[in-house]
Amino acid sequence: MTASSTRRSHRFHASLWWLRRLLTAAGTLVAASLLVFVATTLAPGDAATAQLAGQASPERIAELRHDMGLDHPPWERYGHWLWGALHGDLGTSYVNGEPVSQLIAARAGNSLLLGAVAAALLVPIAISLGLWAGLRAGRVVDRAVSTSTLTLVSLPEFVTGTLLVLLFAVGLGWFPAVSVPSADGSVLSEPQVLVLPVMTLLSVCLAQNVRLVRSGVIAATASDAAQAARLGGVPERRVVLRWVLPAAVVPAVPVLARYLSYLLGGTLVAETLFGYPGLAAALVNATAARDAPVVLGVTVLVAAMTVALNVLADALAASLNPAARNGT
Amino acid sequence: MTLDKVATQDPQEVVAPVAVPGAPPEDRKSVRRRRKPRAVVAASVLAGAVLLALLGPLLAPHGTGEVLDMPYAPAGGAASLGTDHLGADVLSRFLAGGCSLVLLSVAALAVAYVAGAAAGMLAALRGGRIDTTVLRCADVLLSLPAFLLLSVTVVAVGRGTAGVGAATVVVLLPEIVRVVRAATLQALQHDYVEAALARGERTGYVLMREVLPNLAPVLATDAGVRFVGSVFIVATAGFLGYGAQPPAADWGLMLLENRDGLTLQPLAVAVPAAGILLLLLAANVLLDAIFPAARRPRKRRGKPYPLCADTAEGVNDAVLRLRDLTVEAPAAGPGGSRTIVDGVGLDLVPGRMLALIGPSGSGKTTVGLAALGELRPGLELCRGDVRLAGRPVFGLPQRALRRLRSRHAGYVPQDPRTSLAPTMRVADHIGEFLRARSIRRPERPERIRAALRRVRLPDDDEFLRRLPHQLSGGQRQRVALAAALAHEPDLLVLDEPTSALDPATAAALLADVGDLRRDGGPAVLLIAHDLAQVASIADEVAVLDAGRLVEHGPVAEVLKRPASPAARELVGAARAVALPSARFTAGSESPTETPTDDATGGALPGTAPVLCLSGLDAGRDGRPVLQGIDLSVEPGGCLSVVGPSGGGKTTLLRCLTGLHSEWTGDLRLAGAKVPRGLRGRSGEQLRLVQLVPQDPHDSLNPRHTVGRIVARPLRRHRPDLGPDAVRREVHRLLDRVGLTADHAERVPEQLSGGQRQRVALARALAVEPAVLLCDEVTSALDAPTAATVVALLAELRRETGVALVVVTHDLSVPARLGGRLAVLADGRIRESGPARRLLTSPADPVTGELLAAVPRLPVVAGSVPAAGDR
Repeated sequence: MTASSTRRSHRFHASLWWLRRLLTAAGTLVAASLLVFVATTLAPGDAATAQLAGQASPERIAELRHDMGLDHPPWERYGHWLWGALHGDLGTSYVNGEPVSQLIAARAGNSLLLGAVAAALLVPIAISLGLWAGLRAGRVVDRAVSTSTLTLVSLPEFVTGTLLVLLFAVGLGWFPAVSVPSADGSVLSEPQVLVLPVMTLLSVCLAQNVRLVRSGVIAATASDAAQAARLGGVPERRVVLRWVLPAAVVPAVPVLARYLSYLLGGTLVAETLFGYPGLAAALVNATAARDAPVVLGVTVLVAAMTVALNVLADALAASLNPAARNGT
Repeated sequence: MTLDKVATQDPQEVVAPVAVPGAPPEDRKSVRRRRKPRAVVAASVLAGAVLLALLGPLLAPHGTGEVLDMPYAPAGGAASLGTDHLGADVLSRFLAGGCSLVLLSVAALAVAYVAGAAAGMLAALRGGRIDTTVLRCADVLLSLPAFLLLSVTVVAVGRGTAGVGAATVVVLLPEIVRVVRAATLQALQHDYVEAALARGERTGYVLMREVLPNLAPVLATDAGVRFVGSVFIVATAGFLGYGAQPPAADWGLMLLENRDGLTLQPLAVAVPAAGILLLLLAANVLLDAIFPAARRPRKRRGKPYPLCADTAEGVNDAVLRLRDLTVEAPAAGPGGSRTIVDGVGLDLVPGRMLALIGPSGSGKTTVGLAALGELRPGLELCRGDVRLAGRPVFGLPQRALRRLRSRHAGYVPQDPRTSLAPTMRVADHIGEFLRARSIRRPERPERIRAALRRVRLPDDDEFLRRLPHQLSGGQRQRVALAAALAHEPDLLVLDEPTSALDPATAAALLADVGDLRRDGGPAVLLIAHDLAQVASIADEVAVLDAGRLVEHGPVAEVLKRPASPAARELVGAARAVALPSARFTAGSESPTETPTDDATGGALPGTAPVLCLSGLDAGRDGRPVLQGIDLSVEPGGCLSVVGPSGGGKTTLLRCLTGLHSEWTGDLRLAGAKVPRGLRGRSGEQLRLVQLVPQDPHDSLNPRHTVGRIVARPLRRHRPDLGPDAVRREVHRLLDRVGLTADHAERVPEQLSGGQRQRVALARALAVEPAVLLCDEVTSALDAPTAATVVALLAELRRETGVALVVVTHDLSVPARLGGRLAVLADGRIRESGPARRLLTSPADPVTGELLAAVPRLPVVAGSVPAAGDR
C-alpha cells in the first residue's frame, strides 16, 4: 500500500469511528430519556392527583386525567413527549402550570455561567498545581498539597460549602452567604455572589484532578524515556517541558473533560446550598414536589450536555493520543 | 463533585498497584514496613468512627426529638454541645445520626457490588451480545450525572431510606460493572484460564475457581473506593432532604436544618460535618496508604559523594574509566546494607565495544548508569572513581554533569515500549537531543536525517513526522539509538537494547550497532544477559556475578577459557543455543537425542495423519490473519511451525484448540471433522488436543498447588478414577516430566520457570492426548533450561507416541526436535518440508532471515579465530 492510500484508509476509518460515536451518543440520550420517563411514570400519583392535592372525588380526578391525556398508555405519552421535546416543547409543570421550557430557559443561563466560571478555573489550576507538587514529590510542598487534596476529597461539597460560608461570609464577611441576586435578577451585575458557589463546586473536582496530574507527573518523571533524555544531557527544564508535561497531562485531559460535564450540569449541591437560581435548584424543588415534567426536562437537558461533553472528551483524547483510538 | 469523582476514577489506577509480583520480596517488605504506621492509624480511626456511628444511638443522653432549651442555644447548660433549630440536643442528634448513614451506605454498597460483579463477570465471559447490552446500559446510566440519577430514582421510589438506598445502588452500579468487567477481561487473558477453557471446563468452574480468587484483591480495593462513594451519596442525599425526614436524626440533614443558625450556633453544623469528614478521611487515608496512587520517591541521602584524590595512573586515553566502583543499597532498618556493585574496575577506549554480561540482579544496569554519573533512587556510592572523558562524574554539580553528558555520552534504555515519549514525533525527539548539545536550529534538520540514516532508518518527511505508536519495536529502538548518536558522543551505553525484540530484529539491530563502532564511532558499553547474542559483535566481555567482576577479557579468550563458574555457565548456555546451527552448517551427524527420521516426521510410514488441517482461512475483527493453511501431523510425528512475530503462529494454535472460532476450513482429528469453536466440540475431541501455553509464569494458576493443577484434567476427563488413583496418577505424571512427588504440594511461585513448564506439560499429558500443541514453550526460559525442556519433548514423543505441533520463532528448536518444519509469515505458509532440509538449504528468504538470527559463536571449539569475526 502506498503512503497516500494508507492515509486515505485511515481517514475513512476515522470518519466511520466518528459516525458510530455520534450514533451511540444519540442512542444513549434517547435511552436515558426513556429511563427517566419510566422512572417518573413509576412514581405513585400523577399530575391530576398533584393538582387536586388529594381533596377531590375519584370522578373529578378521572376527568382531569382525561383532559391532560394521562389515560393514554405510557408508550403513547412517551412518544408524544419525545415528539414535543424535539420541537422544543417539554410539557407543563404540575406545580405552577408554566411551560417547562420557559422555566428551564430562565435558569439554564445561570447554571451555565456558574459551571463555565468553575471550568475556566479548574483546568489551569489543576494542571499547574499538580505539576508543581509532582515535580517536588516527597518534599514539604508536595506533602502540603497532597494532604490538603486528600482532605478536600474526603469532604462532600455540602460540608465544604458550609465551612466556606462559616469562614468567608459569617466570619470575615467578604462574600454573601446566599447567592440570590437582588431585584433586577442578573447574576452578572453582582459577580461577588458567584465566588462561594464556584469555590464549593471546585473543591472536590480540583482536589481530584490535582491528584491525578500529580501522580501522572511523578510517573513521567521516573519514566525510562525521561531518564534516557537526562542521561543524554537534555536539560531538566526541557525534560519537564517535552517529556514530563505531555505524558502527565494528555491522559488527564479526557478525565478533566468529563469533570467539565459535571460542572456544567450537576451543580446541584452548590446551587441548593447558596439558593442560587439555577437548573439544579429547580430540580431539587421539583423532586421534592414530584413535578415529573420538570424533572424529566431538566434531566434530559443535562444528559444531553453530558453526552455532548463526553463526545468532546473522546475527540480530545483521540487527537492528543491517536494510539488510543487505534486500540478501540 | 463528589460522586463523579468516584465514578471517573480510572480502574487501572486501582488495578495496577495490586499486581506487583515483580518487586523483589525484600523491597515489598520494606515498603510495607514504611507504610504501616499510616495504615494502622487510619484503620483504627476508621474503625472507631464506624463503631461510634453504630453504637451512637445507645450513647445519646437525650431523645433525638426532645426539646431541651431554646433553639440555637450555645454550648453548656443542659445541652453540652448546644441545641439545634428546634432546641434539641446537638450531641444526642449527632450520636444518633451516624448509624443510618453507615448502615445504609454499607447495605447499598453490598447490593450494588453483588449485582454489578455478577453483570460485569458475565459480560466479560460471554462477550458478544450480552457484553454489548450490559455496556450500553452502563453507558446510559453514566450519561446522567450522579446527583441527577439520584433525584430521578428518588422521584420513582419515593423519599426516605428506601429511596436513597435504591438511588445509591443505581449510582454505584454502572462503574462497578465496568471495573469488574475490565478486571475479568484481564484475568481471562491469563494462559491458565485459556488452558481451562481449552480443556472444556464449564463457565461456573472457570469463574469461581480460576478467575474469582485472583480477582479478589482488585475487587477489595475497588470496594474500598466505592465505600467512600457510597457514604458520599447517602450523606449528600440526606443534605438535599431526600433521605430521613425530620424529626429523625441524620448528619446530612442536620447540616441542612441548622444552616440558618450558623452565626448563633456553629456547633450544630460543625459537629455532624466533622463526623462525615472523620469517616471519609480515615477511609481515604487508609486506601491511599495501602494502594498509593503514586509511589513516593525515596529521598536521595544527603551524604556527599566521597571524592577520590586525582590519582591519575599515567596518561589514559580511555573515554570511560571505572576504578573500584562500589555501590550499596542502604537498608532502612538495622539489617545492614546490601552491596549491589563491589569494586568494579573497567577501561573503555573509543571504537571498542565492551559487552557487560551477567544474570539479572548482578548489577549490570547499576554499572551502566554509574558510568554516566547516575544512581537509581535508594542506591548510594560507597567508594570508587568514575571518569567520563577524564572528568570524575560523581560529585560534579548538576549543571556540569549535564554538560559533560551532553557532550560525551549517549544512552539507550531497555524497553522500546517506554524508551520514547509517546507524544513526541521522531524529528522532535532527535531534535531535542541536538538542542541539548547546542546545535543551532538551522543545522538540525540535516543532522536529524543523518542520524536516522546512520541507524538505517528512512529519512523522508513522512517518517520524521511519525509518532512512537506508528513504529515497530525495532524501529523505536533505532530512533532511540539515533537520538543517542545524533550528537556524536564518545561513549554509548546500551542497556539490554534488544531484550524485548524478536530474535531476527534483535540480531539485525546488534549487527548495525557493531558496524557503528567500526566506522570509528564511540566506545560502546553493551549490557546484555546472553553471551551468544553479543559474542560475534563485541570486542571484550566482562562478566558480573553478584556485583563483582569475575571475568574480563577479549571475547575469544573468555569463550575459550572461561575461568569463573559464572562465565563457564554463560559460555555453556551460549554453546547450547548456537550449537545446532553450527552443526547444520557443518553438516555433521545429529547427536543421539535428535530423531533422524526427517522425511516422515518420526511417524511410522504409511499411518494416517492424526491431525489434518486443510484450507484454513482465519480472521480477527474482520481482518484476515491466516490464509490457505494446510498442515498435517502423523501419530508420533513432529511438526514445527516457525516464523517472525506477527505472522499468525499463535492464531493458528488458537484455531486448532478452538479458542479462536473466527475461521473457515477443514480440521480433522483422527479422520473425524471437528467443529470450529470450543462449544461445538465433544469432550473426546477436547481431550485429544492439549495445549501447553507460552508463558510458564502465567500458565499455572498462582493460587492452586501443583497437585491440584495436574489433577484437575484427570477429574474432568477420567471421572472413573478415585481420589487415591488420582494421587498416584499425579505422582506418575510428575515423575514422567522429571519432577518428584514433593512438587505436588508446592504452589507455582515456589518453582523455577523450567519446572513450571514441566508442570504445564504434565497437566497436558494427564488426559493422554493424541496431539500436544506447544506455544513458544522455550521463549521465556534461559538457554540451558530451554535445552532440557526441548529434550523432554523429544523424549515424550518417542515414548508415548504423542504427536507434537510446536510453534516457535527460534530455529534452534526444530533443529533439535527434527521432524517436519513449516515456515509461516504474513499469514501464509512460505515453505514446508523436512526440518533438516529447510535448515540447511532454505528456499524462501524468510527462512534465510530466521536462520541468520540464530546466534553463531565466533569460536569453533579448539580453534582461536580473531575476536569480532563474523
